Amino acid sequence: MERAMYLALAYMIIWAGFAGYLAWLSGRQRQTARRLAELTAQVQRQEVQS
Amino acid sequence: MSLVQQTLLLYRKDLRVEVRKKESLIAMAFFGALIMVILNLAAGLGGRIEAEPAAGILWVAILFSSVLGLGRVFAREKENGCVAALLVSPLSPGAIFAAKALVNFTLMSFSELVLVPVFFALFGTGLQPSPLILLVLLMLVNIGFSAAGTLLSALAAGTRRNEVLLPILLYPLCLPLVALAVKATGAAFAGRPVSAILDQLEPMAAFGLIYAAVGYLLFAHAVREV
Amino acid sequence: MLKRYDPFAVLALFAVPGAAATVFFYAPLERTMGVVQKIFYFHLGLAAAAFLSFFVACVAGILYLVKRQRAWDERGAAAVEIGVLFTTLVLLTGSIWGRPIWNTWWTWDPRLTTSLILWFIFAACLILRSAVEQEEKRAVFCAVMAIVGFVDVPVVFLSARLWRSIHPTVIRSEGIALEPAMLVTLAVSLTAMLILWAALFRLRCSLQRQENALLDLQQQLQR
Repeated sequence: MERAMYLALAYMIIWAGFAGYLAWLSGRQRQTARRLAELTAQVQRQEVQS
Repeated sequence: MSLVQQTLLLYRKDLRVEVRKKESLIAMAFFGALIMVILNLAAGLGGRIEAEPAAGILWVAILFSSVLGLGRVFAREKENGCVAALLVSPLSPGAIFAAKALVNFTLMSFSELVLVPVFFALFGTGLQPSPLILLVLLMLVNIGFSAAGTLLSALAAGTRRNEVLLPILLYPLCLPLVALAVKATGAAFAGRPVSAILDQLEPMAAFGLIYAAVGYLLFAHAVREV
Repeated sequence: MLKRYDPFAVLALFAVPGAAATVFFYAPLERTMGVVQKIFYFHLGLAAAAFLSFFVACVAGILYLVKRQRAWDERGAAAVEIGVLFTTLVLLTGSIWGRPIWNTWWTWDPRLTTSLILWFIFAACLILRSAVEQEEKRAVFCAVMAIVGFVDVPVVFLSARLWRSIHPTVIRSEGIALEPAMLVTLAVSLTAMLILWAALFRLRCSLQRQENALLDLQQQLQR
């Protein structure tokens, strides 16, 4: 039964690895999208002014 | 001017610079010897050492000292603003690669001329020197390490973290080469005949050939960005 | 996260749990190693996906050097990063599998050693990427490193096999006769991992594209 613990550990790590990576990607994507939106708004403001 | 002539021209010029200043050679030999002393103290090894750990010590010392010379060959060009000059000159990038790799090979060989005797002086009790086998192994590793190292030193020189980056890039790549060298050298130190290590010589030679070819092809791309 | 659902992501959503179910409920129990052996199915799938990733990184590197199109650098970056992730998981699962079997967390088994060296080579790629700021220089350097790194793979594997001949205690999983049920499970897990790889790859590529677009915009504003 102790061996089942190792099995469980391995699968938990696989799951945690992918979930963690996806969470990190998701965070980066949100940050990039936010900055992109800010800068696009800034460009539009500049175009309106000129 | 043919490729060989170009290579030899650049090689002779670089070698003259190295021999005149001797800074790389001295640093490499000194650092290598220092590593051996440190390993002796740190690993608590003294007196008789088994063949394979001894081989490991020799190769660690050679590896660490070689990186010093490798890094300098390109860094010096960049510091003096010579890279652009090299590229503008009629020398082909392939010739530049071959010349630099030869310079690195020569530097490694010269530093090993110092390091191997020092090694035997410090750790040699009970080890069989097997000079011919050792020479072959040293040459094989020098070829592979210089080829891969020259290409990667172009990459590292193009960043701001040259000295730090080169070992990070180079060592993982060369691990198989070095590991085989350690095994083979250990066998040689234990007095085994050449037939015992032929298995290991093949991949080592393959490594050298592969990286000479790959380096030659990719160097042109890398050096234009330095 | 994905506004328009990527087909691979949807597939993965079904394939990965499906593979897990196959592993846990369909695959037979292995005699000598018991239930721990079931790590093998995903472990192999992860390794295959990692290898694929580095292959893609190498090809993307070559294509970038030839064509100099930014899209290939984006794909190369994604492939290396995901490859390092998968290789990390290969190492961790391999270690966990080894612990109850060989009673040690690490062994210089040729495949684990190969994986470890590969991890270092491609982690070095990531470090290189972060060390260069100019886009074109970074792309060229990373392309070169990816090619050079992948070319090393056969050499690493060959030399690791030579170490093995000196370590007789290695258990080879192919030495255990794979029953048909195990083969099916293996095929399912492998497929699921490859689908997952494809989904992650596409996601990471689109993120890279977005970030490049951001950089373009920032440069445009600075003018």
